Amino acid sequence: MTTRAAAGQLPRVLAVPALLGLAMLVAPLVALVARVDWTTVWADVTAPAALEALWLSVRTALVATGVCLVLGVPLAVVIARSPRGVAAVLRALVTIPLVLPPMVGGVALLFLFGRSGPVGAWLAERGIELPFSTAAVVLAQVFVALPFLVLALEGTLRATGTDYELAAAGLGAGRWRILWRVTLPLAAPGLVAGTVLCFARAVGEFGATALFAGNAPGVTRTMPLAIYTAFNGSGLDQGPAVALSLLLLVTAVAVLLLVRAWRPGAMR
Amino acid sequence: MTLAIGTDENAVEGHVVVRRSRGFTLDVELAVDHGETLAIMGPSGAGKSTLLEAIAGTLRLSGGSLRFDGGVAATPRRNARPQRRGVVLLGQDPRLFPHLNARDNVAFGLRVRGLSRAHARTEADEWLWHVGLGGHGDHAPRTLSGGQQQRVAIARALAAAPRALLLDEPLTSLDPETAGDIRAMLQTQLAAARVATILVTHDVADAAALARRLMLLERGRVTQSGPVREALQEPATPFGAAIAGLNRVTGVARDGDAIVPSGQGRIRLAARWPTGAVDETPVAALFRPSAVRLERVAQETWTAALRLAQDEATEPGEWISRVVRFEATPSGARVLTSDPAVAAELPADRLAELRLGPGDPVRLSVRANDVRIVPVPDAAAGGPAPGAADAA
Repeated sequence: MTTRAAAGQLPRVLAVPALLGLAMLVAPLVALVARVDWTTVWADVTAPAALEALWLSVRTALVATGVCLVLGVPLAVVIARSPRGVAAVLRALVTIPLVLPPMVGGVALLFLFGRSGPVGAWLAERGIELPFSTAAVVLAQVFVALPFLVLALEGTLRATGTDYELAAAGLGAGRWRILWRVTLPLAAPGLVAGTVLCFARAVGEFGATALFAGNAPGVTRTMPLAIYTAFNGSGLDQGPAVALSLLLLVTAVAVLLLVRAWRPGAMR
Repeated sequence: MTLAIGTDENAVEGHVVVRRSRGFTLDVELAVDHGETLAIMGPSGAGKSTLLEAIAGTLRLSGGSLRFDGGVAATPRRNARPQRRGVVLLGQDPRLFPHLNARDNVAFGLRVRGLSRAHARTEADEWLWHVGLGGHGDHAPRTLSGGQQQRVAIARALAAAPRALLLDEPLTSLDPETAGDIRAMLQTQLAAARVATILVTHDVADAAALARRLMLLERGRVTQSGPVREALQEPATPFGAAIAGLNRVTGVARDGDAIVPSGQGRIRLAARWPTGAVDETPVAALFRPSAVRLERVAQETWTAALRLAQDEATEPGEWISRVVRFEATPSGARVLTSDPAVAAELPADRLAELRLGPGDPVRLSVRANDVRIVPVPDAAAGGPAPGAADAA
């Protein structure tokens, strides 16, 4: 909480751009909600094409979150327990996909897993073709969502330090027991926040998916792609598209509340 | 003398060498038997905590080696993991797992030992009862007071049935009353658990209450080691004298007395039992601050006082000095005088009567009956000796 005295010393005129900025962020969302036709919203969300996209999104995002947990928790632990210099390099590497335009990520994934790519060619020989499949959707989502989990968890792990782990080791606990009973429970706030952010990012993923997985109904057309397609004049009608947009907005707000609720001291 | 449990070997035994930056080297030999408590005292920066960390395995040895129960060995090349050492280190910070309640904190070590969850919890409750926290099992660590947290930490450490318990000033951050209660609790629990204990403390009361042996550590070396009572009665270094609450002035032996150099020449101190030390060998005279008689010198100025000292040859056990400062005691003050540094303890009324100020000349005297003269081992005379080993 900023104190009244501190705020009182600054130019009052700052309030004008501040309010404009806030309007910039909130007004479009209000417009979206205003556009929702509440009488048909349930029917729109449950329209077959919409349900198909919704179901695909939930499935792929859940699987992607699972993959992120399996890969991201060890990665976060390794970074958090690395010497400072090594950790800085690793953290930078993890952050790149976070700031990279997702389109570029999609292109990069294509070059790795595409038929001419090194891994793609190897897989193709064995009859596995990743691009433009549901697996590609998951892969694209993992690529963009993993950094959220790793960075959130790594920060918590580093802040907790190794004192409790040393105490547990002194009591005779083995490495696995320390990880499961001490390290991860102590990092629970970061783990939950990271997982929720990771899932939200996976659900909303569009750019990398569009390039790497394409836009096949029922196979790779997740909610964001369905919305995009609807507004391009094919696939869904605009009604369901708006309803799906509202659903994603509600998801985002729910995620925000979840993450804040889990941050200690945030619910004051 | 002590009962060895399971094995005839010492619980912890070895030679710890740790080199740190800025030329500091810790070089200590020690051995602690099962059921024995060794107290370690020393000025800050002497390497006490470093020694405990090396024994616990959180710090690698630079030299020497450690054996636990004569088996598991740690060397500079092979740093046995803390889990294998069976040594629990407990410091000022109790380090209770914040996500577990008091009971589950204590049960942690029991679960490690393979007890079932229910069994571990029952036993944990018993341990909490032992440390005076019966019924507090459901409390989260942050809802407990500092003293209660330290009690839980002690229960957790003992419940893990370690080979050795390392206590690094566990009572320091507690108020005196709480510290006293926990000291009493430790006394019974350590005796009951018969665990080898190394206790680092700056409070001589801890050493006296909990330990049989006392080791003084100064600048990384052992300067004195032996039964607590002996070490406190015959401190070998100024630090040892300070913790024992004794004045210790050094000089040389002559005809059973000690000749101590002072600002005005020499002081002749006679002792209750004349020292058997050969003439001109180094000796130390020990006497309590309360045994020192302090009088104001009539003359106001220092030069006059000096002249007085020269004119009337001072009696044995009497000398002239200057007040340096005062330290409050519960019932008066300790007057510190210089050259040689001697403290005199005065009751409050006497202090008021004398109206002393820093720099005032005073006549000090101490009766032969109150003085002991002990030979100074070569090691302690010229500073701490390398590898002054602990004769375990």
